[in-house]
Amino acid sequence: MSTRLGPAPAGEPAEDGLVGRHAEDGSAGTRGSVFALPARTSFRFALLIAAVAASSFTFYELIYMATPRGRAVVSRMRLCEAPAQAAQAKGLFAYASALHQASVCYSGAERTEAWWGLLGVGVLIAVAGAIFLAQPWWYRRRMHLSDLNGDGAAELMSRLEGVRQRAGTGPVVWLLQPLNTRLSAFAFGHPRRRFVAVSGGAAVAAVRKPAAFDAVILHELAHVKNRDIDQTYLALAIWRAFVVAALLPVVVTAIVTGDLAGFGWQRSLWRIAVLALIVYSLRNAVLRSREFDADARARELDPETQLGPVLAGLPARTGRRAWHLGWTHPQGQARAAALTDPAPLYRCRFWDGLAVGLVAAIGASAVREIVTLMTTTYGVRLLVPAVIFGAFAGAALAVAVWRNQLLEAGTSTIKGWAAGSGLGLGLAAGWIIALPHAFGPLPLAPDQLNPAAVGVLAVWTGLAVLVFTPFPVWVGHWADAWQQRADVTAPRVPARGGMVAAAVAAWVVMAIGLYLLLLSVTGILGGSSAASVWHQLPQSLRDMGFMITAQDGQVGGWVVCLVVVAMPFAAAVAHRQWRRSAEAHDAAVPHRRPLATALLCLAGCLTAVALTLAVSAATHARIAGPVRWSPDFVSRLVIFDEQAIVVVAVAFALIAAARARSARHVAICVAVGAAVAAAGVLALSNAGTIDRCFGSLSIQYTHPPTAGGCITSPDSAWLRQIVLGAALVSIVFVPAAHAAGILAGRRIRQARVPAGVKALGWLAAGIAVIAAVTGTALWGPAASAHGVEPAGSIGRDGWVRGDGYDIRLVPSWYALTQAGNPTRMIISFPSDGAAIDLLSLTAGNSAGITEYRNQLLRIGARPALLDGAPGLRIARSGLPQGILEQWFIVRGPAVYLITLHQAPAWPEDSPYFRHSLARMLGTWHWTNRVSELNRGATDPALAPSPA
Amino acid sequence: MVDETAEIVRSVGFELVSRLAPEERPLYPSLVSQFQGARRGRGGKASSDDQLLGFGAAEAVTMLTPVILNFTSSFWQALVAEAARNSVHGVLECVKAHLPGRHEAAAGPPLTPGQLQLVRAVAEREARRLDISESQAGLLADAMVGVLTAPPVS
Repeated sequence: MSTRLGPAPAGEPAEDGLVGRHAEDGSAGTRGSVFALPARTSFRFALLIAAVAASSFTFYELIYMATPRGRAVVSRMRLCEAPAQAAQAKGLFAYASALHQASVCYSGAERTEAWWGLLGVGVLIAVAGAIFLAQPWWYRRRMHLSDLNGDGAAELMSRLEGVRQRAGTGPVVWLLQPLNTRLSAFAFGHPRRRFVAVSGGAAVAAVRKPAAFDAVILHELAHVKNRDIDQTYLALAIWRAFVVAALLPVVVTAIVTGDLAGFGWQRSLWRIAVLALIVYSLRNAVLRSREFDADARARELDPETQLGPVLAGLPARTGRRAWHLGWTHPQGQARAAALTDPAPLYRCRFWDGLAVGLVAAIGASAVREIVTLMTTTYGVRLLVPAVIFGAFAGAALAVAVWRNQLLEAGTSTIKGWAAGSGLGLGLAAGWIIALPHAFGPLPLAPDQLNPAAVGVLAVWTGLAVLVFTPFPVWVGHWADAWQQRADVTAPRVPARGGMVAAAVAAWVVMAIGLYLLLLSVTGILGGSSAASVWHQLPQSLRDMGFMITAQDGQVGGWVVCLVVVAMPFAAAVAHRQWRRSAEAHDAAVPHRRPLATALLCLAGCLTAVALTLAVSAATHARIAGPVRWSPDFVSRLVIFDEQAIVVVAVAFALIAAARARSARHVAICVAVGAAVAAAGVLALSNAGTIDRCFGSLSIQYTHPPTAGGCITSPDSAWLRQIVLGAALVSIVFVPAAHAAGILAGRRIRQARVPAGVKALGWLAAGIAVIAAVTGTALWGPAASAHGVEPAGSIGRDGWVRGDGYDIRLVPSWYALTQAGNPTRMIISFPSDGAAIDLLSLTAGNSAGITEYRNQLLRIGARPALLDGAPGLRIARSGLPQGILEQWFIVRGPAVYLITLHQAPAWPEDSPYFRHSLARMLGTWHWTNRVSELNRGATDPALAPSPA
Repeated sequence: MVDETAEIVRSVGFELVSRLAPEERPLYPSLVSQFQGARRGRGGKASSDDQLLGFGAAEAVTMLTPVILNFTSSFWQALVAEAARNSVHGVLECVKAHLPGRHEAAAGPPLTPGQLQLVRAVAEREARRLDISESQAGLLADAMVGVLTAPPVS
């Protein structure tokens, strides 16, 4: 496949008739040959065939489940899942483990079911193969086709062979359809033998209207040359096999068993009908598109052909618009017009995206069903269908959009929005229509039509449309970068090498997208009822976002970012050599744009940092200390900050995109978003320590401790998560911002705005940014504090006074003192239930003290100092009553017992509790205050003996 | 008798088609089978305008063969009816003898001008009865006379 990217030098053969043909009417030729790229419906037949074959699996499942063996599988599953249901009350981990055990338990039965289904698919494929091979014989018989060897056939045969040799196609068997008096012909056959059946009317027209006859025959030979026969009749064969070998048996099974209420038959029946309608309509749509291609090929084979007038003379077909779905030929007038203006051969519209999305989702869900039965590994169940149908869908989209971009005369005029919205809608709708969804545990719309079910479907569909709509636009940007012209007068180059790269890149992106779509079905649509799904929808969406950007799930996101950004730059690398000839033109383009983008990036970084610091400052100044101490408040504030950073990053990415004027710059905008997010995270990660240098920025303290450095390196996992989130959101919205910028730029140029007004505009924008940052900084902390109740006291900025000591609490720990009993203080960590018990007693019972000391020593306590006071400390696992650490200090008349208790439900947090205790004890200092109650009082109950 | 009539119509019709619309000769066997099947109540199968990988819904081309077959059949029936009158019985036998496919040796003496005039008149009358225009009817009648007098074209 040629990768020549520039025009052919004079005297050198053009690339497939690409350059050198300047159209008589200035339209078709400026784009080069229509066949410089594969047909826009390439891969769609393959996609259709794969989807139908995969969907048949569910039909055979239905049949199997109606048999005694199928019912036995259901019983086995119930038996295996019973222990899992019992484990549900033991906690999430126990339940998950039990579910896995259950799946292992019935995996054998599921595999048998899967093999049955696969056997059925194999039968279907075999039947389809037999139908495909038998079709030529069947057509000959059914259409009463005869060989051209009778009286008067020699002249006709001679004429036909003359046309074939002019067309340059391989051998064809000519047949006659004498009873068809219309001027027509059709092609059929199989790879080893091609047939063209000539109608009686055409045979007569060979003498009476030779030009029309030649046009018709050329059109059929064009189908042969375009390799339409195998794909068309294979698609037809698989459809017929589907009806005979899958659909009919299912209907018979349903009637014989009479069990229409079970196994989701009611939910299945309408899906079967819609699936049949979709496949039929899509097949015809592709066939109609192929007719345009065949006409164009015929014109290319013989530029003098009278095909145009013949097509224009075809009688107009009447009928309701909906009936057009059943037509395999477009109107003759439309075909004639396409010969003059081949735009229909290039366009990629809503219906194209919808078709790809529908079939990809239907096929992927069917393959998921197959793989689910074959393996217990969850990830594989989603990965295999995503990879398979991502390949088909990605390639189909890449080719269609590549052609669509070739139609554009101007640079940076990117379309694909309609196709993208169709793609998103098709993916969402395809999933709902897919047969496996009929057997899901939770019926949603349209199986259920209550408001919650409809609402969930609407949100999920809207999300799919939002996420997938920009993808064809990005492919358009890739195409724009690769099809870059040598100069403004030369036509675009098809850049087939770039198209192949784009198809691979689109495969990767679509595979990841399909994977997430399949994952979202469980993550978003899983629940006990439609109402519960609706109510937990916001949290489900947040959890989904977290899953995509969390450490374990980041690979896909980074790959998408890399692919989207790298493709235009790969074009730049490929174009480097011959761009030199265009430098004179480029030199006239000011290099302000890279500088402007860099400045925008810097401004974004500063805004993100300023916003983070402003939020900290506003928190310090406006939120009460005990509230600031709360871990709930801090986590909410951090989440708010993260979201604000992402918003700022995306905003600046969009601004940069609105100013971008090339595909590379559009891609750079994603990097701008990532850079701004990184700057914001760096600032946020230091929010907890910067108060050591700038007290007014302290989130938790009024007067923060000053020990230690105020700048720390961020947690790399956290940094990657936020940066990835910003990059992915930028990818979704940058194309729209770029398109809006192009439109606005045209209007501004038309309006001829003076420079002074532009400057004022920038000033106003700067003021708006400052106002937004200020407003956000003021609103965020208050919103985060809403409903947060302190769990106790924090003393004075963390300092709490005990009986003879002062100690500074660590944020998130609250002091609980009992009224009238200053000898005991409990410092609790409300989130987990951990606690530090501070007990002070008089040291009256020396024997008891000695006894206790000896017990501590026996169980491993070691000497330790607490603010200079000697004592004992024990800290090890296995201590009774959930004790993690204990200090025993005798100082003067008092005994101090400091006991750290773990959180029973969260033993894994013990290291954090120990660390917190160490920090607090680091602030401990003795005072001379001893309570009156403690003087002469002895608490008979010291901490129980560790033994 | 019916078979003889069908055979006569087939052979005469072929000669007429060869003279008047030779481009329809490759279609003749199927069209005549369709014609004779339709007369016996067996209809032909209609073709689809929207055949896969076809050209599309084009206009029908006017075929002369069905008209010729209709004419030939009517002509022969009319001639047979005329044979009931003794004066033309000899014409019938003469005409049969000069049908295409018959050996020249068995053809017998050529038709007399009077017989040919009678044949022409019957032919023109039947053509006019089929709503064919006067000039076209004359052409058909002349062609029929030519079939019976000139050597076969096929």
